[in-house]
Amino acid sequence: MTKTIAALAGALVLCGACKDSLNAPSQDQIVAGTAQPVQNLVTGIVAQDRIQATRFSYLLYPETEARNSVRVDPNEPRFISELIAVPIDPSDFIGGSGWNDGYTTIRAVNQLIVSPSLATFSAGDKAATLGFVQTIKAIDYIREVQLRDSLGAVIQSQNASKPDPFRTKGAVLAYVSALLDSAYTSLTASGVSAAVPFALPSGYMLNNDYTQTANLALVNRGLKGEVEVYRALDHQSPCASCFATAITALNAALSGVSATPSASDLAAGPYYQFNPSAPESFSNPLVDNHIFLTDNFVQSIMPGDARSSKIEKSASASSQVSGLQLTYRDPVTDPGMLSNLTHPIPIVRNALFFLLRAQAEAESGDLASATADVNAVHTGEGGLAPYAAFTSLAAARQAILYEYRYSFIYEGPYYLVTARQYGIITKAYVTQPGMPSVSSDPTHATDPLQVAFPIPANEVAARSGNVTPVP
Amino acid sequence: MRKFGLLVLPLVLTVFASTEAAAQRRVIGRVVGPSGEAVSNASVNVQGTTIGAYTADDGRYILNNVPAGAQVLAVRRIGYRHTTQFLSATSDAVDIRLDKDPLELETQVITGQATTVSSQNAANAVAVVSGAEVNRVPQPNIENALQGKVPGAVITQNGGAPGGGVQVQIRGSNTVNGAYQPLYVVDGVIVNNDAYSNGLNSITGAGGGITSVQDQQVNRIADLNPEDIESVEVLKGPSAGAIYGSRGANGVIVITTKQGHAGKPTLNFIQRLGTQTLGNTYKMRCFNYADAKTEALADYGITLTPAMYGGCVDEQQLIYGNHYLSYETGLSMRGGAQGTTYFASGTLKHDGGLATNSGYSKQSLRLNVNQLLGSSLKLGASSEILHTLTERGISGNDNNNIAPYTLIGATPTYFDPRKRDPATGQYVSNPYIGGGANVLQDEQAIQTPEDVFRLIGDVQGDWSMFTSERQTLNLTALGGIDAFNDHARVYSPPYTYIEQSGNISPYPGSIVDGNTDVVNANLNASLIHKFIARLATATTSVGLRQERAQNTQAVNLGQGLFPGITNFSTAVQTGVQDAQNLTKTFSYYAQEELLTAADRLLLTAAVNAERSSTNGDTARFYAFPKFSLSYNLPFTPRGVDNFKVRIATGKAGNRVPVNYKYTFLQQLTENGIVGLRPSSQIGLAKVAPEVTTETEGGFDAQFLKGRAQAEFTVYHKRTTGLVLAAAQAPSTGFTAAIINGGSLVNNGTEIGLNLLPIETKAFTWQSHTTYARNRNLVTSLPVPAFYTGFGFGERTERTKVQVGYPADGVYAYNGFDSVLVNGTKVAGSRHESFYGSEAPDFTMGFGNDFTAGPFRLSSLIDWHKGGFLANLSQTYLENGVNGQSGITGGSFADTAMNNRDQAAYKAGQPAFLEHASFAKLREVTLSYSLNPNLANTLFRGAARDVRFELSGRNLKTWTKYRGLDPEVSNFGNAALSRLWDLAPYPPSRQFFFSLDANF
Repeated sequence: MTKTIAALAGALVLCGACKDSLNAPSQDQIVAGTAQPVQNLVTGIVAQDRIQATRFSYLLYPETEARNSVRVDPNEPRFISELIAVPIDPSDFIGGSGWNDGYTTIRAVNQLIVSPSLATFSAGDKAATLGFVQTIKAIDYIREVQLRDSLGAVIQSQNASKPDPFRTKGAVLAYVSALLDSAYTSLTASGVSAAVPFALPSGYMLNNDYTQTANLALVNRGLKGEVEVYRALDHQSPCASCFATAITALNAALSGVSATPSASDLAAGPYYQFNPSAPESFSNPLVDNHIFLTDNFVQSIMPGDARSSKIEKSASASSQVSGLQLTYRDPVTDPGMLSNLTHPIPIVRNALFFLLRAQAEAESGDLASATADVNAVHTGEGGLAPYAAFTSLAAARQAILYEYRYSFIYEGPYYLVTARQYGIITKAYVTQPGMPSVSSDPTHATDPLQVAFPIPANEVAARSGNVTPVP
Repeated sequence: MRKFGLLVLPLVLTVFASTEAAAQRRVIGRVVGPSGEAVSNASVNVQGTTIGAYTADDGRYILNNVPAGAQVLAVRRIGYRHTTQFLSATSDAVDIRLDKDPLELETQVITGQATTVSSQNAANAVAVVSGAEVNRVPQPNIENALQGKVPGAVITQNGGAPGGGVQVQIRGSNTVNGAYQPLYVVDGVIVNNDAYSNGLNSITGAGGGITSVQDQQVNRIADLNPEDIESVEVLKGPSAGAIYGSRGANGVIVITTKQGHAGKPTLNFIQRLGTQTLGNTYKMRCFNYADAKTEALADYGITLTPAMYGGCVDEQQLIYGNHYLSYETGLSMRGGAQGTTYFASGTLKHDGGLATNSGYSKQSLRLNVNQLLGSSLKLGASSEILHTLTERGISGNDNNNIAPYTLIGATPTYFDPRKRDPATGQYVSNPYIGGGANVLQDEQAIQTPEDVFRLIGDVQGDWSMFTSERQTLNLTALGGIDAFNDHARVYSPPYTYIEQSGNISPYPGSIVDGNTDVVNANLNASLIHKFIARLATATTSVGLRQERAQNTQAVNLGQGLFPGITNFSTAVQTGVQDAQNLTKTFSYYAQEELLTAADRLLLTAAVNAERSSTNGDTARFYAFPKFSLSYNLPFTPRGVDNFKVRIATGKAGNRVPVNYKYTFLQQLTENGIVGLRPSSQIGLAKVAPEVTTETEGGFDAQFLKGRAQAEFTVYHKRTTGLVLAAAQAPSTGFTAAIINGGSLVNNGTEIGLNLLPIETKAFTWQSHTTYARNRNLVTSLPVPAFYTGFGFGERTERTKVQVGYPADGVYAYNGFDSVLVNGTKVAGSRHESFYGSEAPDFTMGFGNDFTAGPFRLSSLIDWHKGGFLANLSQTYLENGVNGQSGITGGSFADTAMNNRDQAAYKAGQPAFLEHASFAKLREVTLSYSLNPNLANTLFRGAARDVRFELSGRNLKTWTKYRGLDPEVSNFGNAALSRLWDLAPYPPSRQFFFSLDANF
């Protein structure tokens, strides 16, 4: 009996001790740290970049701050209550957005750069890849600066274990400028592959072929020009020489484009495209029946401007929220048009480069060239008679702002950025007729103008409240 | 681990060093109750030996191999008081009389995987709820049945929608991110109590994605059939539940279903019929025509005509004022003969909802069979097959103007949604809200069926390997499975105003079709040795348990449908969501129980060693030990029957959530190519389970010859190694990193008082009172304080985890300091105040049973004192800076309240943070037992007892809370931040008439 019991007890223990497998690898997602093909990593980067650029935080909130468009939704009054005439809360709904996604893209680029898969590429393919992803990385930095302006931003290092220092806007822009130069060097390096060695979304071939490294190099120069204009107009540390650098870069970007460009010339650039079907399930986010144009936007357009096609009277006015009720919308936001779901949104396009060059020229005193570049958009997209040569910087600035406002509505915060640069966002400006007035809420008595979106609360908390930027 | 096995083995073997020769004496007798009636299924044991038997239907027993000489027989039977009877050396026959134990003070409570002890010796405050208590009132589900009956358990529900959505939290929260509900074990099978989203979010837009935790999910333990339950034991914490390892920290609810008894078959038939009424409504504001005309023009720009004026229409009554039939038909049979016992049952149940297209149906079949093979092997099998259909309608958070209380709050009462559009025959569009949704059209058109087909079953064996006069050795094994498919659909047809409006998606018509497949399996094996010596009884058990849980959920969304078509692949926009995970766990356990000092002292030591696939180190065993002591004092003061002191301490874990050890590459598809980028969360490769250490102590006392009993327990729980998602600076590219760190404590007191104040032949009064108080405190955090759960606007309340405060601390704040950097506002400090814990300060339950002849009146009052709710429902009906009603002055009849709230909110005060205290008349039942002679006549001798009952649930609520129900928790499926009242399905009062007959 004792032997039987001993055998049973032993079997019990041994049964448990046998090498049963507790290995239950993830069935849901791929674990990081494993080598993945460059193609998948690049698609991850461009898909994440699309997420960042097509959020309301990039396409809509700046338009609200600039009093061009408001989302009027009685179920979600925070599109008004946290955006108009009150300081934006740095957490959650509005304030934290438009920050994280860009840094996620940048991390993805930083990981690709050291990926073992990239090391297996030929020198030409590697140069094309680096040139492309570093240009995308620069775009994401530019967006961070566009939204946070003088609050500064962070230059992300390869070490993710601790936060990198908070840097001034000037320092970040200088870094991005150098980054773009590095990318340009790669894209134009001797022996670089003519095309990037991976498939890109079809939006990169929608208006010209931006899978070609030569064309990507043109985009790169356009972005370089953008950064240099921002540096030159940085109120904290203006860069006197940057206008010239910007003009040089933008000349390169527009080297193949007519001085009197057609609409398609101006539209040329890489685009984000959308697909509402699973598994992608990513529709144009602007298709939303709560998004309306402000009365001021509608009333300020010049008679005969072809861009009035972006304004239509809505079948029904918006609900009334916080005293605001709007009537007009851009047809691209109209759910009634099936094609809107896949309506592409530009990443950057030539019209932007013309206006940036006009800015640089005007600020440099070359009002004639500035007039020509403004007219390129004014007539090319607005279909309007060209301006006579500007006689003052103020006139040039006013014209430039107009073109940004009507050519780039829902393409990015270009109008807000320029208005901020030109200092027009005043209390009188934000308290437009028909818009909610500056709140009388005693907790919001100060600073309702929001020249920049706040640094997200999580970023502040992770630095124990210290987000003072260093040069 | 092999060393552990080598240590246990000698312990098991040593006690077999000697075996005694078996004696040949045979003792017979009969066990009867106070009135001389036969008592079946009583256990009769020769004290100090392993020799025992059970009484048959006629109360007779036979004891073989009784040792020579004078002996003492010990007799136990639930419902009767434990009795000992002297057996003289020359006697071979003895009858034994048992006294009733009306308070049921003596039960068996679980101490291990396969061991129990008498409650008289239990070292823990284990709550035992009998099947009769569970079903005293027809219950929507098992969690509702425990409300007010388990001291220390706070039970909340997402809303009043039928079918469940109820969560149990015992002795406070031990975690921030981990599992927060107790483990459920049914007849040894570890069952799934997860909640799965049905995709309601796709039409409410409450959050991002196809599904959301805001979908008013149903915890799947609601599938169980309460009528099959014999008893429920609640092991409240690690000091009792350490044997369940990494799933014991939050308590364990052990459910035992009814089993067969030897004897002739008995049949039980239950028929219930009932209905429900709306438990509470808001008092809405009415307008005469002139005022309505003025108001419509001022607030909506609408010129009201007499034809448009509907008077004063309360949409709450239109939607929720239905009295649909509820019913339940149950038939069960139990019996046994020649070594076979069985219990079989079938139930058909339907709970009508308050609203059209809402309700809950259940059909279940159960078969429990036990078979003796020879004298030493007992095999058993239990199985329940069930189907539930839950239709919960739309409720909760809504960003699309579709949920009833969104529409009710925004619509003036002079709009009559019952009117029809003469052109289409449809209900008229609502011109007072964006989207034009008509609340009746939505209610009747939108369907939310969730079908669950489930099997819970086990096979078990008990082999009596060795038996002698003083020793037994048993090997028990159990294999259990819990498998179900949960098919949830949400269909919103394209013709409704809300779908046509584009609020939901640009393309009218929505279908969500989701399937969740769950397979849980566990295998237990135990070796139990019992050694009865002169001075002590030692019970040694060793065993192992293996678990495997596989969950797979796939959800498809289609938007833009043809009329009548619900095929999502035909939709204009489609989306898909898929989640899969597998968890494996393996554990050993060993336990030693020593009952000594004339059965007055019980010492227990046990350890569970467990490893799991969710841990960072899957090879490492984490040890969860427990120790306990109970002692019944030999001398008690006059009037005190028994006084037991007890103390227990133990550790248990809280399993690491699946995949927390990994850092993933997030998949993003674009242009048909799968992209990979770093996920936003950094996993912890060495992540370990949270560990909760609990020490509890107290006393149990019985007075006045079993007519009074008091229990007093204090406990201290400390959880360390919290699994936290530490916020990262997003500029790193990551927003969170998993860490182990920080600690929190729960301290509490529980008191139980059971009384039999009156017991006469004509009248009996029993009283049960419970009290529980818990205080939670975060004692350390390796990260800055952080908010938990949802936030609805930065000036409403939130919950925050902060050192020195409760983990469920409620904070409200009123804006931010203005800190300008270079002329631009940046984050400043909050004006924030701590208000208290969201959980109640204490809970009490008052149960009373009055019996007079054939009548019995039972009632249960459930009192929760303190705690907080964020009454965002209130804001749906108010107008102002934080109100959603479009009517100046708001939709409440009390416009002064609206104005007070909005002024207070504007001034930065937390106008919608409210105390959640309440008392509810939870259950009341009046029953009448038919005179046995009459029953005999009516049923031609077949019926043994027939009872009629009138019963009700939640008939009355006393509260100062302004919402519809103070125990709502829209987002209760979380450990913390459970305080949200956000336009839930309203509460109901339920009424039932029942016939309960035994044949």
